[in-house]
Amino acid sequence: MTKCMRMHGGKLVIWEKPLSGNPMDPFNNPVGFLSLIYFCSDFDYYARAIGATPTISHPNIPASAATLVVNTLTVNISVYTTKTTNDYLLLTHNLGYKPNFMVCDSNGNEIPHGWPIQFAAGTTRKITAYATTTEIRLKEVALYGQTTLPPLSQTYTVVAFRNPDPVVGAPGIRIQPSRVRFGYGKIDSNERSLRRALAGEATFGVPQGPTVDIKNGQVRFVRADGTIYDLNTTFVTGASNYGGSFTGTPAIPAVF
Amino acid sequence: MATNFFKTTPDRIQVIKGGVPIFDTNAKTFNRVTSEEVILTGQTITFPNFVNNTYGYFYLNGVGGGDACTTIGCIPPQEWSNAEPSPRTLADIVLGSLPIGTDYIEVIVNLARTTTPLAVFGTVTWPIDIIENLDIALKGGSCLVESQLGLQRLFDIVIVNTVVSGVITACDAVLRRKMSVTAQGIHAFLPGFATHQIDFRQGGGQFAGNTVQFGAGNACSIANTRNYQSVYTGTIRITPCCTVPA
Repeated sequence: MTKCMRMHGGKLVIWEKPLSGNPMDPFNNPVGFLSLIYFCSDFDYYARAIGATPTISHPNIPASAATLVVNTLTVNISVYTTKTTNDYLLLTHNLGYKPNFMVCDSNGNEIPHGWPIQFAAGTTRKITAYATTTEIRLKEVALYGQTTLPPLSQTYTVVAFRNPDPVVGAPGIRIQPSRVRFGYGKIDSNERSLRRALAGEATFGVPQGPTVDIKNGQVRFVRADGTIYDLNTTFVTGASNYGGSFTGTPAIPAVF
Repeated sequence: MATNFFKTTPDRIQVIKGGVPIFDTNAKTFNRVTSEEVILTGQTITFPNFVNNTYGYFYLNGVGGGDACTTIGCIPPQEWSNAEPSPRTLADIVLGSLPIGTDYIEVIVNLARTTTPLAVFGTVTWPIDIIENLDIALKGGSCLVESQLGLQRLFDIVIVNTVVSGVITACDAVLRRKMSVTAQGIHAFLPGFATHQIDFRQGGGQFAGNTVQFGAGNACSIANTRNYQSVYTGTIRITPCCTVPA
């Protein structure tokens, strides 16, 4: 296990020496030897620009009366139709572009799109984070059912990553007691970049693969830490439960 | 001021600030290979019509001065995926090539539903879970697009490696779709996902006894001609990353 580092021709690469072949191959062709690359100034990184841990007060979702949609002499059918949307500010970044970002729950799990944070008997509260050119926001969609969901106070960890373009004027490599920079501003000791965690570090779980599955008309969500959420529904014909065996995809333990 | 270190040994390179690793070859940084991004504009994601569209039949005799019937359109219980047999097979779709070694993808979509089934019971918008016309980061690649009352549609964008004799020879970003309808339902005669009232008839003596009367002069229509296909159209951006330790 030998680490190599070279800066030449406006490119800086740190790589693992191949077990065979030309040891310079990863420098000459980083994309072709991707798994051996630790750093390449031609690549981009999730450099932390700003972060926050806002607490959002999600409001009460009242139980809803079902709407009668079929009413004949032979059959009546009612369904729940109410759906509301709320939108919350998580973080003001003022970067001037839509940055990459991460939003994690209080247990350190990155939150995927349309994630349920509260549910009971057909009433569901789901959230989706998104970026604007100035803010990271959270959109909440509530589907009403026969059960009231109480208010929910939830704290999120939010980080916006800066545009990964090279920093104008940044050095190929400069090592000072006050600051270490290399890769033309892509690694800078003044800012953290998203990376895998070392043993013992507090981590965030980054989903590496699918987080949702469906079977028997029901859905299963699996959080990054492996916690399972089945949003089952009880119909007049009986309980309709998720019918599959999905247990999630191992998450990447990461820090930023 | 926190002290900064740049440390190198033959088997490790580190940048440390105040004791905190900023860069460490033992804790690989997420390497984003933006030069190999897959960007698809005008991309469509199609969820086909369900099979065996059917109906529920509700009959009573001797009401309202005669017999009466109602038929309700219904999608029966069924599963669709890349592993289900024909005609419920949803084949994987290759969206683009990724560098070998990719173990994480950043997926951002901006989609709108461009083909929508008719409203449920005339008033309830066909289920939609994805937020349309917004840049959505699909963490993990999963996207539940339609979810309600025992009906689900989902797509994943996943990394698929082609392995020959134990060696990865190709790596692709693949679109994988699923559809599922529950075996239960909102009425004992309506297993699955009920969608609309097809017909209601009343009067006359043609509905003798408890026998379902199809095709008689005043019998309820049973033809469920609805097409439940959904199509989503928009932009998909997939950025390959490598985080796996060398």
